[in-house]
Amino acid sequence: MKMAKRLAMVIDLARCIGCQTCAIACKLENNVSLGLSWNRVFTIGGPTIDTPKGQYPDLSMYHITLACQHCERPVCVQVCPTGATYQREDGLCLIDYDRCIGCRYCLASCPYSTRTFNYREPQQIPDFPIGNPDVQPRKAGVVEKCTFCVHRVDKGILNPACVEVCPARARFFGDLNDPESQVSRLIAERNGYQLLPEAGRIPKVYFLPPRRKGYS
Amino acid sequence: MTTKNQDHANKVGAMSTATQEPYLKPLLRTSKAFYVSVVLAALVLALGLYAFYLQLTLGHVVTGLGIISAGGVTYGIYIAFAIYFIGISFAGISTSAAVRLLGLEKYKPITRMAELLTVVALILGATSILVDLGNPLEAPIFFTLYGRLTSPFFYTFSVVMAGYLWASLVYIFLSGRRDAATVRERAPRFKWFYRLWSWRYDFTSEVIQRHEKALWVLSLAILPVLVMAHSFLGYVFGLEGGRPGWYSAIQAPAFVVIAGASGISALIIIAAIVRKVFGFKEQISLDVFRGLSNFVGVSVAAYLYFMASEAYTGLYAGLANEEAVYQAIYFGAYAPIAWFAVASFIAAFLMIFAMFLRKKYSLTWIVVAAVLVNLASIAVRYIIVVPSQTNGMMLPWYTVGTYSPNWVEWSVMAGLFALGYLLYTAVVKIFPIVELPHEASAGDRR
Amino acid sequence: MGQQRAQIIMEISRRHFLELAGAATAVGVAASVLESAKAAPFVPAVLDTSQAASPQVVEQIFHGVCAPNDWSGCKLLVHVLDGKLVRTARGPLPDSRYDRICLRGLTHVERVYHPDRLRYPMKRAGERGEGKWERISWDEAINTIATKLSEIRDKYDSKAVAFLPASGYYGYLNGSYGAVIRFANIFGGTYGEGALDSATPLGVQQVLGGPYDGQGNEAADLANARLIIVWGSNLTESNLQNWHFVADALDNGAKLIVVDPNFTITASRADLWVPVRPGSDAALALSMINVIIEESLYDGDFVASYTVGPFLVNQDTGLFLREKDVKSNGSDKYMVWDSAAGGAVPYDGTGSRPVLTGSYTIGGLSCKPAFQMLWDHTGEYSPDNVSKITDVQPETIRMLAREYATRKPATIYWGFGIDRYYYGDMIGRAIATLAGLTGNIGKLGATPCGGFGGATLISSPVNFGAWVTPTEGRMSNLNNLLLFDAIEKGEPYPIKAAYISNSNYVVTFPNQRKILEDLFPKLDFIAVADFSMSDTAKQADIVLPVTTWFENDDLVPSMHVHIMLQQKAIDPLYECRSDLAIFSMLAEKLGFGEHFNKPAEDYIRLLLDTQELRDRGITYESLKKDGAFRVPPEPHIPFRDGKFDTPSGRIEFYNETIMSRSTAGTELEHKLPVFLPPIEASPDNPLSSKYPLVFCQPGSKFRVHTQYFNIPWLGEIDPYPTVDISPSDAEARGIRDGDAVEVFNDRGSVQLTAKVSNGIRPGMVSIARGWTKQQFLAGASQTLIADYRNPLTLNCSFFDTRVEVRKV
Repeated sequence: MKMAKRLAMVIDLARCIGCQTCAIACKLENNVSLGLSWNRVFTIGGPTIDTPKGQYPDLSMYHITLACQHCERPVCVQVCPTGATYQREDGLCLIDYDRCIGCRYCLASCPYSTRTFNYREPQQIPDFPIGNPDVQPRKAGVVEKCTFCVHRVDKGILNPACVEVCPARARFFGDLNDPESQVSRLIAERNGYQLLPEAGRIPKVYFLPPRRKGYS
Repeated sequence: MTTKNQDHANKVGAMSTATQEPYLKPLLRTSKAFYVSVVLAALVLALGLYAFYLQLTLGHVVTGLGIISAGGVTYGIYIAFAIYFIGISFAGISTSAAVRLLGLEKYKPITRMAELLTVVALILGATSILVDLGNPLEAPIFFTLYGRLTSPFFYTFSVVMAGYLWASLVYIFLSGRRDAATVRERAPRFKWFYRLWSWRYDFTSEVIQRHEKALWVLSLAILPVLVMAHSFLGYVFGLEGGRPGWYSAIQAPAFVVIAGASGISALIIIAAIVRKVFGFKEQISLDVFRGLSNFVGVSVAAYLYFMASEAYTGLYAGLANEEAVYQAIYFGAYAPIAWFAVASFIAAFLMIFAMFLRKKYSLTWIVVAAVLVNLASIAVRYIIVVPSQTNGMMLPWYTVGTYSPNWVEWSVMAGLFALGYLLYTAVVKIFPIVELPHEASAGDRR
Repeated sequence: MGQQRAQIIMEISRRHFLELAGAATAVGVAASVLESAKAAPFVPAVLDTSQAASPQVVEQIFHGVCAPNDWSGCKLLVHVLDGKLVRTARGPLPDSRYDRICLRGLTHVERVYHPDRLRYPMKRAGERGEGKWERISWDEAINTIATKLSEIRDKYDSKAVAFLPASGYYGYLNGSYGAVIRFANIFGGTYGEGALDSATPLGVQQVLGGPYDGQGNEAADLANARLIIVWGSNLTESNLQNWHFVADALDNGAKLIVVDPNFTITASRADLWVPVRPGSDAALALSMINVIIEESLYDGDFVASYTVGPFLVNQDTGLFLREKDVKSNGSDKYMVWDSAAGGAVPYDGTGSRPVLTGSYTIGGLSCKPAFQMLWDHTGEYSPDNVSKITDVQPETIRMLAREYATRKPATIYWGFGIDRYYYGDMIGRAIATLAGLTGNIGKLGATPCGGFGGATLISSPVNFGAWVTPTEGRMSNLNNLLLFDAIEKGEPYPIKAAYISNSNYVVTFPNQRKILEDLFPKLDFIAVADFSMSDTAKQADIVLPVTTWFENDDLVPSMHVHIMLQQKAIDPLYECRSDLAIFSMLAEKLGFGEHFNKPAEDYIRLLLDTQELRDRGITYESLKKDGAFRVPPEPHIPFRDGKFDTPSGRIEFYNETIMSRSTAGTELEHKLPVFLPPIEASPDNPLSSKYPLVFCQPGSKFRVHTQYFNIPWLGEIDPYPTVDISPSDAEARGIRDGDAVEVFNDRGSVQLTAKVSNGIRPGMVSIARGWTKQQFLAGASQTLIADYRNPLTLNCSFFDTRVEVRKV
């Protein structure tokens, strides 16, 4: 479907240092319950966090972050039985928590496995709501995920929290329909790529490749 | 009504007490053992309800379910058993429809058992799904108001099941009116119920013919619904491109076949129990079981073929993650369950094939085979649902997940089985489970 | 952003008005000073009257600073709703290049409202460390402390009371350089200073002069470098706020070289990773010097103009040759050899370029230019020789040297990984020397101390003297390592009481067993002020609950170029009081309350009361609007004028006199940097057969030293302590990833979970800092470390430690 806007995110893996700030920023901004995570950092290297692959001293490691890809052809929207998951004109895939029946079919269908579920009432320290007061609270029994900080987008503060805080200045956000936007230019100039393009979901999170290192 | 018709009606309806007696035995006599079993089932149901209550108030955190991206599994035994229950609902209408359309009279005695099995199984299946939902109380409303047809979850678990259930209930209603009319005077309790059921049923040939015609049309219409129902259940998994192991065109036909195998096997078990407990040796001949077991044998063979094809394709040419799923199923953590299922299917098939070759059928062996097929069906449902979530991640950075159903989940499932037992036996105690023999009348279609 | 600023102005000017109105009453003054010394709750000065007007949610936003340690000082916007902190966000600075926040700064809601926060004063109700507490009132707490301090002062001396802050917070009022110094100065106590992160800086100061940590270009300058050598720093975890500057440089085509024994995340981004043997960094640097000189890659003009290279050194005395040494009535001017003149001449900045090499006899004195001495001296540090010491290939060493000398401007970004060895000063001298040889100093993109220049913590225009020394300064400084002896042996004088604030003393300092078993029992009294029950608080006689930073007003310097305002955003929780309030109450009891009877705001005004700041128009009012001001003009590039704060005014890679923090033996006084094997970590150490693994304790992005140890969001990602061990070492000990293991040596032990990592150097193990004793399976990592004293540096050498690991 031809969308009015195609809001997308670009993450520069050459600059990302896996510092987890974006992961924590998301938890704070959206008051995500303890035990749940919308945005995660993966280590591409060894089997555990922040370890490289290879044998000392021939080693390599980089990091990648993963949250909802806000696909243009989202599976979750297709399979949601009640239409609680829907896609907006600006390209955001969102959840209407009041209509979600917690069947978790979307959670099981997502090729990227970026959705999470409230197996109990959301919990946090402290015991009053924190984060951005414009964010819709959730309850037990509903699915939730990254919204590209729709509450900020709608208020005209364009950048999602994770983009705003990234200490490495490695995250960018904008409209792919605008060829002059930063995201469009970065993808074109730096060979931005998507995850699992073969799944055909047309995700709107692009990655700029890690640096080609070394002395050549 | 004219006197002439009245006489005819009376004559037809007034079956001799002697003839009716054996069919009414379940209604008239109740053993102590039965009461004990009801109490036990009620206790198990209570346990299940308590476990469900915990889940409702505290959330799914009390179960062993988890989040896929965090190494857990989100569809566990609730869903596995749900599709098992829906699978065995194949038995009912298919039997009745086949009997009616193909004129297989000898199976008539078990058609009502089969129909009841369908209804109870669909109820259990629907309940199993509801129990799994995060918000079960509002789900039926939302399904009705907002249901989206692009979602296999929606159309299977609502439209198809509702349609199937409704059609089965109508079928039972129509086909049971005759017996309701026949026994309404003899029944020891609930006379008002039979009267209501058989209201305006007067054994005239027009009425009988009208019913028969309606049932014939319903039988014809229900067959595509049957295929659709199980295919769509298969599509719930088969259309999931993002879940290696689920994503397969074979899911739909395989689900139809396993439904046939497990449903008819379940029917065999129930029929054998009913036959033994109520002494229906004459009414339900061994020949019936022979026919049913042959069907089971063929469908088990077909299902083994599907399983083999799926596994071979996945292991030979599956993408990395798909191969990982089949590796886990057949050579990894799930190997005991998977090979148990395969072995049971093969054993069941061989038993039936041996009896077929020797032309000598033993009820015991048939029931054993049927039990094996059902156990294998449950195992197979488990390995359809779970491994794709623990081993089937499309992104390579996730680690293998684990799943271990806990007491809450087992209690809820046990409670469901208890509920099924109670529902089924309640009907058996209220209504003749084996159709009463009716004398031929001029208007009967044969 | 404009919207936010407007809101802040709105809220803050409204607040200011109400504050003025409140402060006009005498009660208001007293209340705000002592922050309700009585039980009455503090009346908040900020009222969000807009809540009544409209049903819409309106947050109040305050200026704040996240300052858990000297390294960061990130500007925050502190969002408050209904008097409760609901989030902390990245705030804007006048120089927006320094806008940043990290994962920890985003968790303050969990920190402020953590259920384990200390709520009321407590006194020990059992043995020290037993964990039995009795709740007491503030009155009783303050009385007890004041009485104890007086007793000890009367019995011994006021110096017997030690004030021991570390780097928990650096606000001018409530931090380690704050009210505690003002109090100690009046009381006459001892201030435990240094011994942390101070060896390499001493070496740098030796060569370049200037204050501690004051030699570097500001962090934003990293983006101008064409080569960045990160040496002994895992900046992507310990200074992640500086990474984006490095990333900018890399995006512009710069190269990154990382020197580190382990393959850290920083190393994973490097064009070249140099896996050096731990503690052998000085040898590597000296070898680089050797290559640069041998291959004539040094900047001859620069060396001649800005270093002591051309200055002639008397080979007998080791001192520079002065004019007066060869000519009677001669000046003190340094002598250089003028090849045109064919003789030695006093150097006055004119004339042809003096020679750097050669050997000369002047007036019967055998002399060489200092540069020649450096050349001769580094002869033994050829790449082939050093390769065995450092375990780095000779070709790599040559490449490192050539790159540094030719890919300019080049920055060396060193971190305290190289500092934590017994001879950590030497690498500092060598690095500064490298900069001097190549001219990679005093220029855009070139500095030997990248990452923390222009720090307002080091050099600040505030009226610090007036704040901390209201009367005469009677405080005694004592190095924290020497303080061990003061407590244990009474040398140089006895210390009998400790007041610990902004510090987790028993985990910060080494040899924990000694601290707990030999030192603390000798103290008559220990008071600890903290906001959680740290391992140090557990040892206290009196524990005082402190407010978090968001509950006080303060003025906060940082390790970047801004000074920032911390506004009181929420009321103090429970019965917590600020450090300033605590000292105020103590001062009152001890008879000098008149120096502590003003509200925080007045002291902030006092600090801002300098000509320089007045000229710039910086006042408390302007700060309430802007939130911060930048101190050094942009760009902050020290030594741009080529002048160094050394005796000669030049880069002194050759030193006549060696700076020392105590009377060191002359054997430690090396006039040129040398490589000395680390005292314990050296492979030649006899302990290496029993304890073959060298230990290190790097910083982690999940904690800042021991702060944030109990934050749930961080704990979801980093749940428990691990010892990182290489696959070969693990396999040799039958250890698999996830096993419970014990790390031990003769001094102590700790039990925790093993994490097998390909990135760990075989022969090393690593336990990240910051865990509290309860989080280990048993023991504590701080028991493994010795309190070695290098008399020159008097610096804790945490990494000069050997251990063994076994499965439990």
